[in-house]
Amino acid sequence: MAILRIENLTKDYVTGFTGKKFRALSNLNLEVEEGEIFGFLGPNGAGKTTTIKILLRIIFPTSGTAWIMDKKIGEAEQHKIGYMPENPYFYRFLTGREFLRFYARLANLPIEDAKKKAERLLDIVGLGFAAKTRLSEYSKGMVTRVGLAQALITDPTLLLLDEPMSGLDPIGRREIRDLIASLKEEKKTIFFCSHILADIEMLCDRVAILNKGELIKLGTVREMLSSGQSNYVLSLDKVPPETALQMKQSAAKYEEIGGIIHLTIPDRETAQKMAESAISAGATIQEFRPDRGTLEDYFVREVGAK
Amino acid sequence: MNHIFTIALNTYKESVRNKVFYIILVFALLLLAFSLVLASLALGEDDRIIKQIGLSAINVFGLLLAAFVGVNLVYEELDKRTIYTIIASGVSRTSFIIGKFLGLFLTVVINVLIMGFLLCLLVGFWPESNITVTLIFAIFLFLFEMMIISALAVLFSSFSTPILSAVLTFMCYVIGHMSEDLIEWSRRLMDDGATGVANLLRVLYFVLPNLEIYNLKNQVIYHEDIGSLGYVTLLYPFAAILYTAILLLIAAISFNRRDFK
Ligand SMILES: Nc1ncnc2c1ncn2[C@@H]1O[C@H](COP(=O)(O)OP(=O)(O)O)[C@@H](O)[C@H]1O
Ligand SMILES: [Mg+2]
Repeated sequence: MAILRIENLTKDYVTGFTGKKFRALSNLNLEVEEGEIFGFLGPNGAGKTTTIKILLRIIFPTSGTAWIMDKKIGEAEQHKIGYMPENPYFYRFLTGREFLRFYARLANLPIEDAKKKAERLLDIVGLGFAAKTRLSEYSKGMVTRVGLAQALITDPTLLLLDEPMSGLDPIGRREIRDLIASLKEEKKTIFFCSHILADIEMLCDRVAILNKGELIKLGTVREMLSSGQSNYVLSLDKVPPETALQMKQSAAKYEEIGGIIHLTIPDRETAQKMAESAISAGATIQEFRPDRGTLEDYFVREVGAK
Repeated sequence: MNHIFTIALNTYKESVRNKVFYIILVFALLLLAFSLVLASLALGEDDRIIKQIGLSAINVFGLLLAAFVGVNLVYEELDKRTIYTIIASGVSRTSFIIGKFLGLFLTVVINVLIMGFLLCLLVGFWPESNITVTLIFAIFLFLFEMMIISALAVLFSSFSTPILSAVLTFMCYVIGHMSEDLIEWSRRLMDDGATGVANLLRVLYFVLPNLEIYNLKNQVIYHEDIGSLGYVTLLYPFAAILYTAILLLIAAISFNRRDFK
């Protein structure tokens, strides 16, 4: 049974004084199964945040609806849903500890449990050292982590994470990614919005691609990666100049970095032949592998086509 | 109920951690001290001067606190989007508004009580002056005026910017204290044939609260006995509660339908 079911969801924003309508989300249908990490992918302005905000009743849909754990939105049990907003900004006057206790209290946890829960989560997200520091002094990475702790305070079954890694440095992103991966082991369902493909590629089971409010693709990461045509990458060292010139003409892509030549070749036979002739000309092979492309290639192809 | 309570306490925490709270308290204390200086200069008028300045200070600084803290409260939550996770936690929008209001009102009450306590202390120790029941009742009535001001600030801040909200709140305060004049002007304008303006004043008179009824300054300084106030005075607090409830209801209704940006 799908834990999240979105049905014909449409959202028109009314903008300006003229009352002009702008369709940010158009007839979205989607199901997220229990226990999966679902990547909700799309360029900026695709309607990802709009979708999440509708699910949480922060805004109201123009038409359509959604079910979360078999309850219509609005009647859903909010404590089973954890939410981490995009570019989170929280009460700056609270300390990390007070902040988490506040959310634990909103979730109707008794005071003693709320205190315990707050301490535990501070530890889990690695903010034990900053429990008594006000959020106004937190770095962006720390705000993200405390935001994630806030989302986890009720031990929710479903997590809605809106771009949890945007704006973080590589170390911060790595930490959040590891944290999300560990949540999967706890059998939590994660609905993960992002426009950063590397993160999605590493974490998600299934992916939906949204563009201009419309769902353009739905499937597993593997399906998407293998659906593209696969190139071959050949990297060579010590190539004589005349051979290099020859290769430059027959390869689809030619790059020289630090004396090493990287070639991208569309089909296997040509690639093989080029490798052989390079060896006979005295070059050494550094790398020879099929290149299935990245989710990014796929994404650019799919979104660019529309 | 738990939601309202949790939000109210958090809002109170927010307000007292705001510099404005202390700035206002310090200014109020300075003014009280100043009243002592004046009192010692003006022979025989001590009692009147201390009470006059003291009560005015409590009223004005209570107003400033309610307005300046209040107009930011809801607006900031929307502007900074801190409200998202609150709503996502299952807090109803109505609870949110009521919680915000109660937190603000609690801050103002504590401020008024601190100032009121100090004024009573001053009056009690000053040789020519003494605490009267009317004085204490006057401070008590201020609380209800501040209740209305707080609700106005929360209402305005739920749909407009802090600056506009502040202007609107102060306008309500000023007009609220001129309620009697308003109806008098309206009558005169009507006689002069300016029916349009006259009707506008009349509408303002009926829509805005009469805040002058919560002002017992004159009764205090002219030593009127509490018994002379009339029993109707006891009903004024209930009027304030009713008016506040209506304001919050309007705020909640407009809030309930809105998309939060
Ligand atoms: N409150 C709003 N009023 C008008 N337009 C909006 C509003 N919020 C979002 N939009 C527009 O709706 C589209 C989708 O926005 P959003 O859901 O935030 O996209 P994403 O999260 O995928 O980047 C964008 O074009 C955005 O400009
Ligand atoms: Mg977004």
